[in-house]
Amino acid sequence: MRKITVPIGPQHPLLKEPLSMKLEISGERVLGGTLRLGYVHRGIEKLAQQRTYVQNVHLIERICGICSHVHTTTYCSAVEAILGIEIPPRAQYIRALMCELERIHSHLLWLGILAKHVGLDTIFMHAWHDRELVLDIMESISGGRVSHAANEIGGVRFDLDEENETLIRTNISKLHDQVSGVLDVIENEPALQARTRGVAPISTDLIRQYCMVGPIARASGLDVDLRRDDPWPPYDRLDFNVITHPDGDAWARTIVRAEETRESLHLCEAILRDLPGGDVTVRAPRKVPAGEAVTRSEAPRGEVFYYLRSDGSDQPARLKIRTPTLPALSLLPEQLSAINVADIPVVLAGIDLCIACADR
Amino acid sequence: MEKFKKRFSLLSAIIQAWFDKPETVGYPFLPLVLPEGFRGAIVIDPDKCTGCGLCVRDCPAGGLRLEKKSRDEFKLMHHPASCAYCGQCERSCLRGAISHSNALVAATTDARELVVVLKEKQG
Amino acid sequence: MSQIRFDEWVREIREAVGCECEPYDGIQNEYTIRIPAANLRDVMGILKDRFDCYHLSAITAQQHEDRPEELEVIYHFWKGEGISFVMTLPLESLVIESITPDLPGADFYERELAELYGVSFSGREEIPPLLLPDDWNQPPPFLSKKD
Repeated sequence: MRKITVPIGPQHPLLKEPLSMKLEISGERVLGGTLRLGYVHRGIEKLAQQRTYVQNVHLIERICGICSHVHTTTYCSAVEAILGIEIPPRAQYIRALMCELERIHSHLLWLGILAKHVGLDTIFMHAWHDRELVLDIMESISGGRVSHAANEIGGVRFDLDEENETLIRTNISKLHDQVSGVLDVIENEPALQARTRGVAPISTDLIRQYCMVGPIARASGLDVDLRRDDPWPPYDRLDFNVITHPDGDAWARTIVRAEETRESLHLCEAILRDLPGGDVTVRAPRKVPAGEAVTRSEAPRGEVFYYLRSDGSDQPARLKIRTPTLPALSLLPEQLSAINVADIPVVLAGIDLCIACADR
Repeated sequence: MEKFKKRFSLLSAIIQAWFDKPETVGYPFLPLVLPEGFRGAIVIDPDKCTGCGLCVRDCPAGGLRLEKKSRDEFKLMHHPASCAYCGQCERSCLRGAISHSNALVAATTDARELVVVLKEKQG
Repeated sequence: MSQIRFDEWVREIREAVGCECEPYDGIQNEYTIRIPAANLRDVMGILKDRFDCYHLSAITAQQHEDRPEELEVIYHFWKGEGISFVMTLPLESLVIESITPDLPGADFYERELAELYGVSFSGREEIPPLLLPDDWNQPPPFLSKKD
């Protein structure tokens, strides 16, 4: 059959963010493809070198519209490592709480998008409805639904009071029910299974070769989670399960992310239970002494990597950011070979793309 | 029974949806309840502001501008369109003069509203 | 959960590659080794075959203010803990041997470096544009070159 090249993007109804793909298609089969990025390249790494450390917290927050908190957490811990200050335990717990809430919000958002792509709008509505419960918590404790501005160098900006804790507890117990309901539907719904099972499976070997991270790696049986393997406090004191699945297809990723949501709900409860008292900030100087630091965190999509070098002024000399979507994208052409045209949305959704993150 | 459950796993959700009330808020016909810490429009307490410019220095978005001639003659302006509503000015102010109110910032068709003079002091 | 026995690794790399590699205490939270750029591929091979460590987190390139005539390139690996390999390249010949044949995951990082810093990678297929526009004919945007 004749081979044709179909360009998808940079602007395309299938994509929420600009990404350009050129797919080789023969009949109903996709044979392969190439990628182009850079349509939302904002030069944040370069821009960060022209801002002060304080201003950068808010700049970094705008790298990603979904996992904004984990970016600022990683950045702030890099600055704190060079400064040699340790933030109070209460601040560590609040940071972790926000990270977990963000993970729930991100995974529910992703579940909605996947369900929408396979045509299961009921799950889309339910997942996004449940996500509002998390956003309500985050808005009430930090003042922002997505840009929380929760972190500052030396701690967190807000403290939790009685009222917040009650709201978190009620919303989380509601979410427990909702997520169980959604999981029940996912596991039993034949339409969803038919669309996701066996679609573009990836072997553990390929995952390791492509340095994949996060839920995608775990869905292919690679047991890696930075919260357990390279933790920052308080994760070293918290107990949780790392969810893995051997299949590596879109279905495995659905299950891993759905189970992770449930695990994060337990983590939120554990964090609230163990929440220590005390201050939430320590004073941090504006100027950072010369030094270099590397920090890594487990974002909803996997490992976020920050390298920071300071030269003793109040502006960073170099800030390198590696977001988890970048390795995921490098494996995309591999996944877009030997599938049906109708499965392209499922493969794209299964990766949980965040192009703005990848381009920075 | 197991087979029935597999076929109709969505059924309970669908039946539930018939009885649920809409989740959306009827804004602007009904009032919108914003949480206490919501970062809305920037307000200033003119008695406390001394025009030191700490908020302007730390503003990450360039949303604040200070025209300062002397200690007693300055003009502090806010650009709502540039503002990122991050709350850094509130944190940076040593006297607690500048803060976020709980009010939403509405869209405007009037260009004059894009510059808000927070405090003007003439010598 | 430390899986890196750093002293042992440094010794083995030194013996197997025969290069000068000096560990130093530069980067916080990370083991750091300075290696010559020419030996990168060999070190990478040892790392992969001998220590089973081939999660590449990122490749950083940077210019120091006090050393404007060279580009510092850092390969950040991870296995339970971070381990970094630092090398310097003179601005006149920005060439590194590609590790993509061994580690396909390095592909995007190398392409990013090639476009933003103008580093050329030998031993891999030609680098098609990834981030910059197709008709980009300016010098690499992140590299500052003083003439």
